[in-house]
Amino acid sequence: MSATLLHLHPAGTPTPEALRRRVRVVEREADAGAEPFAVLGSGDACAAALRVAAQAGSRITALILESPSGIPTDALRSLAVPTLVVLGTRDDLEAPLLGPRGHLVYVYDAGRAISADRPEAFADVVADFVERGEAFVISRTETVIHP
Amino acid sequence: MKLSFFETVRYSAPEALPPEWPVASGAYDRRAGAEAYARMLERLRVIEDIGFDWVSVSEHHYSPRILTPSPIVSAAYLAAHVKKLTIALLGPIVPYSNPIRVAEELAMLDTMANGRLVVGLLRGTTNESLTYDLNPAEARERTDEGMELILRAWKEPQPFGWQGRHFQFRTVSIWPRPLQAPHPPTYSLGTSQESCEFAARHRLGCGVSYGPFEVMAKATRYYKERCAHYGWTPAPEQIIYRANMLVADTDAEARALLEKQSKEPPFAMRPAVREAFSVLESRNIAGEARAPVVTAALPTTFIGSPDTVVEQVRRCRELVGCGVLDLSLHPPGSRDLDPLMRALDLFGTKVLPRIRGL
Repeated sequence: MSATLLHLHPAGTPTPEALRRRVRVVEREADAGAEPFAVLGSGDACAAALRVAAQAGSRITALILESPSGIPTDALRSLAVPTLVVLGTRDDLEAPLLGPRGHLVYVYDAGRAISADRPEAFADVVADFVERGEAFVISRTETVIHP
Repeated sequence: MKLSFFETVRYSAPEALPPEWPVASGAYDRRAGAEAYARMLERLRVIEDIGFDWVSVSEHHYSPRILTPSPIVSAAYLAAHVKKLTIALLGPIVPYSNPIRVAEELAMLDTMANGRLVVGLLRGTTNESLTYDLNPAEARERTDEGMELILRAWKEPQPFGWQGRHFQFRTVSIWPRPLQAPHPPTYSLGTSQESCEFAARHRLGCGVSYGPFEVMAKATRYYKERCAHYGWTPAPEQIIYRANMLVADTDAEARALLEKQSKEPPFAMRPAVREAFSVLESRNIAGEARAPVVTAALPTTFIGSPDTVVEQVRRCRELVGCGVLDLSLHPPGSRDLDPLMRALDLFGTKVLPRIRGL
C-alpha cells in the first residue's frame, strides 16, 4: 500500500498527477486515517504544514515544504521530523536554515510554483522522500545499458 | 586591455600524421608528447617575462592539434609554475562533464593558484560530442543546466540536492570552496543567443572567438543588451575575444607566412559525419544561424607588421568591445615551434606595450 501524504496548498495549486501516482494524497488531516503520514505544504500553506507537523508529533513521518514563505527563518532548525525544503532555481527565495534532519533540494528551471513548472521532477523527489525518508539521498537509479 | 596567451601545447610530430579526426592514437609519439609539455613550461616563462596577464588553456580531444583533453590538469600544472600570470581555464566542456566535479576541481585550482584563476564555461565544438557519446541535440540544454549547477555548488553554504533535467544529485556540499568569493571571475563562452543570455542573466562575462570583428560584435552587442535588460553593465574585462595573430617584421612577410599555411582545417571529420552534423546540430551568432561545422582553417584575424597589428587591435577593441584579447600566436598548421618564439619576441617588444593601454 502506498504511503499517505497530506498536501496543504493555496487554492489553484493542485497536487501534480505525477505525485498522486506514487503516493496516496489527502487534503484534510481527518482523511489521513490512523496510520502515520507525511505532510507537504506549498507556498503560503507551509506555515500550516509546520503547525500540523508540530501538533501531530510522532504520527508525522516527513515534512516537505515547497517554496516556503512566511515562516520564521529559524523555524526548521530544531525540527525532529525529517524535513525537505524544495526550491526552484528561477525563484529568488532564500533557503531557510536547516536543522540536523533537514534537506534542501533545488528543482532546476522552476519558479515559485515548482509543482506546476516541473511536475515530474517535483513528484520524483517528494515521493522518494515520503517513501524512503532520509535514505532518499541514496540513488536507486540503474545505469546498466545492455544487461 | 588585458593580454592572454592561448597555450595550445603544440605537438611537433616527428612523422606525418593521419589527416582525419579522430586521429589514430597509434600515430602518437610518446617522446614528442613529453617534449610538447616540456616546451609549454619554457614558453610559460617567456610569456610571463613579456608581460602577458593571462595564460589560457582549452579542452579538445582525440587530436594532436591542441594537446589538452583535460584543461584542469593543464591549468594545475601551469599554476604550479607561474608567479604572476592568471590562469584562464577556457574551459571545461560542460555538457560532457560532471558539473560537481568541475566545481570541486576549479575550487581546488583557484585555491592552489592563490586566487589567480578565471574560468570560461562552454558547450564545446560540434565534433566534441563524439568524444563522450553525447547527443548533440541535448548539448545546449546540458550546458546551461551544468553551468547553473556549477555556480550553485560554489555559492550554496548548506548541503543541497539538484533535481535537474539532465543532472540529478541528492547531496552536494563541496570542499574546498574557491578562494575568490563567491567564485572566480567566470565567463559563458560562445556567440549564441543562449550563451549570451545565460551570461547576462547570471552576471557573467562572455567570450567570443575567431570570427570577423563585425560578426563577433553582433554577439557582444546582444550580450550587452541582455545585461542592460537584467539591470547591469559589463566591464570591458568581461568580454574576451580569442583570435589567431600572425605578426612579422613587415606586412609582406606576414602575408607570405600565411600563404604557406594550409587552407584546410587540420584533422577534419569524415564527410558523412560532417554532413550528418549539419542536420543534427544547430549553432547561431546572436540568433542568426551559422554552420555547425568549421570547414576551413580558422581565420588569422590579426596579421601584419607590428604597426598594422596594433591598428587592427584598436579596431577590434572598438567594435567588439573586448577588454581581454586571448591570442594564439603560433602559425596555425605549422609544426615548427621557432616561428612562435620569434612571434612572441616581436609581439612582446613591438605590439604589447602599444595595445596595453587601449
